[in-house]
Amino acid sequence: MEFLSQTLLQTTTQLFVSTNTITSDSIMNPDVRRQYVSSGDNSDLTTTTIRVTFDSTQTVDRIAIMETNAKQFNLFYNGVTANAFTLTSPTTTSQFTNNSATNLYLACTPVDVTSVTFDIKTTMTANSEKAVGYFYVGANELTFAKIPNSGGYTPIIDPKELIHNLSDGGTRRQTVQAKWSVKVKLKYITETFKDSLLEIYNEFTPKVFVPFGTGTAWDGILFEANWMGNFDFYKYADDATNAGFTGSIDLKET
Amino acid sequence: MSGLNSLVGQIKNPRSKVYRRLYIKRREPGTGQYEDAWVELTDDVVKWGTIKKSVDSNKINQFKFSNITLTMDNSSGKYNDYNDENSLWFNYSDQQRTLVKIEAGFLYETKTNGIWSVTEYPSENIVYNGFISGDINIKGNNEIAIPVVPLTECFRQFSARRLTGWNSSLTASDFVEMLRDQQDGDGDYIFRPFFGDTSTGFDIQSTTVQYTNLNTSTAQDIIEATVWNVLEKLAEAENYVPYATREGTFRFVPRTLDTATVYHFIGVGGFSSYYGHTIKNVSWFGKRFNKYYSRVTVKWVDADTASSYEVAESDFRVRSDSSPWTLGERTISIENFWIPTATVAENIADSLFLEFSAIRREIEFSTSFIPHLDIFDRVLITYDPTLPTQNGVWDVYNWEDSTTAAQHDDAMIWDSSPGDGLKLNSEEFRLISIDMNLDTLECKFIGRE
Repeated sequence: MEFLSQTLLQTTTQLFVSTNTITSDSIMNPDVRRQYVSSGDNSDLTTTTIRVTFDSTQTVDRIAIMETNAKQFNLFYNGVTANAFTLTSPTTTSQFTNNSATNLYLACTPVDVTSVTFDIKTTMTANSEKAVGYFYVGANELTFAKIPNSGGYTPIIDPKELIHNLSDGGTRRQTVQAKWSVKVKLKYITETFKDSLLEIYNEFTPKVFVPFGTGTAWDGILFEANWMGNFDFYKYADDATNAGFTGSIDLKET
Repeated sequence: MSGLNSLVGQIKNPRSKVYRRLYIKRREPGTGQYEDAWVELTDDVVKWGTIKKSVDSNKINQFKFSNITLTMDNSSGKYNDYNDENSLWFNYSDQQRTLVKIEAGFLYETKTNGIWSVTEYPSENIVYNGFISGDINIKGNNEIAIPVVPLTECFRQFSARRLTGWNSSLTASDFVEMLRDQQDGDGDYIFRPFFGDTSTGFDIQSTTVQYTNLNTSTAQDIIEATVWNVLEKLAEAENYVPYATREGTFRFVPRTLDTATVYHFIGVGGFSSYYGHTIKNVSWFGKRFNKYYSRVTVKWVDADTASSYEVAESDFRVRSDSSPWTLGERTISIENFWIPTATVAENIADSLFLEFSAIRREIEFSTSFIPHLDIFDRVLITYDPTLPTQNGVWDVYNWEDSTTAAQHDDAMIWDSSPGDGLKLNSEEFRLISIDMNLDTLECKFIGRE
């Protein structure tokens, strides 16, 4: 369970795509069904390049690729193909030859970079246009020292929707957008962890929340979140002060 | 059966994805021209408000488009006055007269080979075009109410005497072309920027009658009038309709009514695999006495003589089929001295008489989101909320229609149930009012028989 920085890709001026520039900002849209789709790259012999360039050097140790059809692809930094990221999972290098996951969460050794390039060479269904729903580049800010038990973790897809009650008693449900809402309850956490959480809480920027960022079979949950309400981790978990603290986190997608 | 990859299919879909989008175009400082690209502000909308369009019940050619008030989140000061550097209008002209466009519709999403395809229904998805005009008040809760008026308001905000091009042989269509091509002293178009900034933003059908009273900017009929006043008078005289389409085209065209039905509303008691069930409730239904007139007078010449009037009226008889006797006499009076001939005045009187001399039924009902219908669209309504008696056969079948006493006596005549409070079976109406609540995506219609 992790809090990450906001994505380092914040404006389209940072973004280069080799084709279909007009839809490039879809890569920044957290609605993963609004994909960036290449144009005329529907051949496995043609590479589609997506590059994010930063104004200044940034430290990167997390990359997420969501709703993609990329099979063979390279991720590298500073525009040099050989500058692959050193991944901790699922492989040791960010050069994939036979990917079959539509959502990928990649943790790598922190590296200072000025650009990140995503070269898609082939697609899962051969000779298709290359598609990416969301591309996250950023850095880990806090890995939870303790994760909650099943009762302490409640992820909910919370749709904004309009319900029409029809004259025959039936209903019609029209959804505007669905956002994540997550409640995390933690008990017996250390003072150090409590202070780290407080630091996150006190910052006036939203954080990206990833509950289970696994290198393989990732559940695809990653969203920019607001920590709603109060900070209640000053409450002791038990009668003895050394038992640690207890409290809850209420996160809602921005 | 309508599939999901169609507008009707999405309207009836029990679970669908919908969207509303708000865009603006600001004016550049200095030139005062609108910026080229629309700027999307959808994420800042707190409350969308309701769009209303209706037809004036007492005038044959007047459409009314409502203002709309958008409530925006102003916590970052984006909607402050243009002098504020946090304002979206900083380095642009004043917020007033900023163009506003609202789109709404359904999203149909499918995935093939890992690629999502999103189709929007309807393809013409603009539900409102207008511009900001009015007081912009910042509320204490960091919200701000933005007043928006329809595009045709630009004609109300311009004095007719300022126009150039008046002459004694001007026709109504010449006048609208004059508006289309009207420029200021520097050669900049005055009205085109509101309608797509191109000459094709005006759809004008030719007229032939020349209006000698429009010969100069200081003419009596012009000096105190707005451009819209002139348009209304001309439209009435020509039996034309001046209005802006949802897509932002200004039209000056003859009023013609479609004869084909374009949609079928289904409520309780009805079923259609094609249209599905859309009616939420019927607010009221009945004959509209206040829209009944037994007499129409059109005064088309200023002189106070009988020949200045054209009158259409019902015969008065003390009989059950004479509406002045059964319903009373009610008169509607029109006065327009721009009407060129007695024949035109007679046609106007006859049109109004045809519409209002019979007492007609109207219905107001609300539905789920139906974005594509327009005023005067011909529609069918099916609605029958009466529960049949258990084991009864009312409404099931008209067994026989006979007047013979013998058959009455044996109780075999089962006609339609006279006890139904409201029973509409594919009955035809024309839409005369449409409300679209963009917050709840509920539509409210008034149909006239």
